[in-house]
Amino acid sequence: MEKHVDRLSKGEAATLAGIRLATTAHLVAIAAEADPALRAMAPKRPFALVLSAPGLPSVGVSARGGRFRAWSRSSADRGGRGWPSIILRFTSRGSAARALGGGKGMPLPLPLGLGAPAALAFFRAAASRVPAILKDGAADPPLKARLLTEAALRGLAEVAALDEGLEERLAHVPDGSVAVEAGEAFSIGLRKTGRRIEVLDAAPTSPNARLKFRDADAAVAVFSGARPAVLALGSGEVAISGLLPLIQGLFAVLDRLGEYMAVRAGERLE
Amino acid sequence: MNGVERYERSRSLFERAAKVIPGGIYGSKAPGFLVPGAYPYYIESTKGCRMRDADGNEYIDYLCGYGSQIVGYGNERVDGPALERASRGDLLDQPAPVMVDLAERLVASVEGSSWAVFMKNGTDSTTLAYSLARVRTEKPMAIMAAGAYHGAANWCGANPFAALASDREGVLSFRYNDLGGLERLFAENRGRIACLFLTPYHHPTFKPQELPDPALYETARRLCDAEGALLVMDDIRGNFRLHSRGSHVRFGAKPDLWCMGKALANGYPISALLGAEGTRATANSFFITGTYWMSAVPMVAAMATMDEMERLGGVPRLESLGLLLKEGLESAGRESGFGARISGPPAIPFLTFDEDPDLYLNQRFGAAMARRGVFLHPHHNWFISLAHGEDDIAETVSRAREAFAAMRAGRE
Repeated sequence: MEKHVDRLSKGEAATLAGIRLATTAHLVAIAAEADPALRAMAPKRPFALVLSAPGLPSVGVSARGGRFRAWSRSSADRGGRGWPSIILRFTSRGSAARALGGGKGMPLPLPLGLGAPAALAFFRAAASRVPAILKDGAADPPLKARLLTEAALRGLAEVAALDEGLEERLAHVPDGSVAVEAGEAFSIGLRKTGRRIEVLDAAPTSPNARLKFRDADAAVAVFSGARPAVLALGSGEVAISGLLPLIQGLFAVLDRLGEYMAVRAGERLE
Repeated sequence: MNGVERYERSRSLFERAAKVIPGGIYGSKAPGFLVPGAYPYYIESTKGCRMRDADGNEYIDYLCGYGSQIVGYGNERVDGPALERASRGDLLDQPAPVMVDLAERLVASVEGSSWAVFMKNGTDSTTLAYSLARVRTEKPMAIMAAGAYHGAANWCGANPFAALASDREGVLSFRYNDLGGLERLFAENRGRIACLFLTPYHHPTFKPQELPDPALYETARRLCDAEGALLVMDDIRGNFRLHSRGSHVRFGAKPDLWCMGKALANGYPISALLGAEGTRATANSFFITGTYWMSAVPMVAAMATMDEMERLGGVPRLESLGLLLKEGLESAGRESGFGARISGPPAIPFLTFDEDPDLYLNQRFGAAMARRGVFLHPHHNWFISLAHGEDDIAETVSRAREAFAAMRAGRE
C-alpha cells in the first residue's frame, strides 16, 4: 500500500477515511469520559456532533447528563444519539482521511442548533487531546490501553467492512464473539458476523474466544506496535483461548489495519 | 513450578528467534497453535516415544513429529542403515541404487500403483499431483473437502490471508461427506474438473475427525470417471497407520494418484507421489526435480522403516494401542464428568469435549497434561507409534485421570 494518503486508490482512501472517522469519534468519547480536564471543557447542555463523508456511514459523538458516547457502524447499541447539534461534513473520503490523519483539510461545519459552537470547540480540543494522551509517557496506562484497544477494534470493523480484498478471506474466519481483557483495567468484546464486526461495551459472558492481555501495559505495548504480537503471545504477556481460528483470523485483519494506520497524511517529502 | 519457570529456556530462545525468524517459530509449530506458555517451544532430544524439551522436562509424545515417527525416535534399525548410507554419500550426482529398490517396494506395497517418484515434503507431492492432473486432463480445477489440509502452498494452504484470490481460483470445495454437494459441484463444473483430492478420512484441525461415508469413495470414483478427472488420495498423514497396502484399501477407494510422506521414513525427509498405470505417460512427460529429491539417506531409511514396521507388528499393533488409549482417556474423562470423546481411527486419535465446541477444555486439558509430562496437541490430531507400549498408555491414562480431576476442581 502507498504510504501517503494522496497516492491511495479510491478504495483504499475510502477505507482509511472510514477508519479515521470511526476511531476519532470513539476515542474522543472515551477520552472525555476519563479525562477530568476534558470533562470540564464539555458544554453543559447535551449535544451530538456528527462526522460525515460521502459514501460512508456517519459517525458521531454525543454528551448527555455528563456521559459521553460515540457511534459508528461497529456500535452494537444504535439508539439514543439525539438530534445533531452540528454536522462536520467532509467533501470527499480522501479529505476525511487526510484531515483526520493530521494533514490539510477542513470539514464543512453545518450548525443545526444553538449548542453548535460549543460542541465544535469541545470536539476540536478532545480530538487533539487523544494523540497527546497516547504520546504522554506519564499518562495512565489503563486509559492508554483502553484508547489503543478501542482504536484497534473500531479500525478492525472498518477494514473488515470496507477493504474489498478481505471479503473472500473473512469468509474463512468463523463467526463468533471474543472477549478482550486487559488485566483488571477493562474488559470489552466484539462479535463477528460475516464481514460485520460489532464492538461490545462489555465482554460477552460466554465468548467463543478470549484475548487476554496480562495487564494494561501489555495491551499498550502490543496495540502501539512497540511489542510484536507474536512475541507477546510467546512470552505469555498475551493469552488466547477458545476458538483460535476466530482470533487468528482477526489478527490477520489487524495486520491490514496496521498498513492503513501507517499511511501518512502530512506533506509529501518526495 | 509455573509455566514461566518450567519453560524458561524455551521462552528465552523464542525471544531471540522472534528477532531473526518471522513469527519466531512459523507454521504448525508456532506457539499460537498450542497453548502459549503451557507447552515447550523447543525440543532438545528424543528416544522411542519419549522426548525432552529445551528446559529438561520429559514427555510421552503423542505428536510423533506430526506423524513422521512410526517406529520411534532414534530407532537403531532405521538410523543404523541411514547413517551408514550417509557415510558413503547422501546427495549424489545421480540417484543411488536404493531409489530403484524403494520405488519397486512401494509399487508392490501400495495397491493399484504402478510408478513412484520422490520428493521432500507433503506439499511437494500434492502440488505435483495437482499439476499432473491438470496436464493429464487438460482441465483447470481441483475439488477438495472444506477444512482439509493438502499442504502449505498458496493453491491449497490453510491460511487464506497469505494467498491472492487468484491463487485459489482453481480450487472448489465441498462439505466432507456431503455426497449431494459433491455431485452438484461436479455437475456445475462439468468439463472443468481435473481432480478430486481426498484424505482417506477427514482430519481438520480444531474439529473432531470424521470417517468417510460408506458411499463416499464409490461416489467419488463414479464422478471422477464420468468427468474424466483423477482421484487423488492424499495419504500423507495416514500412510502406514491405517493399512499396510495404503489407506485407500481400508476404505475401499480406488485412486489414480497417491501422495505419501510423514511416516514413510520415520522422520527422514522424503515424500512420494505414486500413480496408477493410466497416469504413467503424463508422469513420463514431466520434468520432475528438486535439488534434494533424490538424496539417498531418506530412501534407505524408508526401506528400513518398512522392515521395522513389519517386525514391530504394523497396523494391528498400532490399532490395539490406539484403542487402549481411547478407552482409557474417555473413561477417565467420564469419571470426572467430562464428555471427552476420541474421534478418528485408533492409530490417529483426537480428543474433543462434547460440551465445548470452542475447545477451551481441549486447551486446559492439553496444558494440564503437558505439565504432567504428556504431550497431547490441543488442536491437531495425535499419532500412535510402534515405540509406544501398554505401559506408556497406562501412564498417560493415569495422568489424564489426575488432569481431569484437577480441571473439575477448578485447579487447572
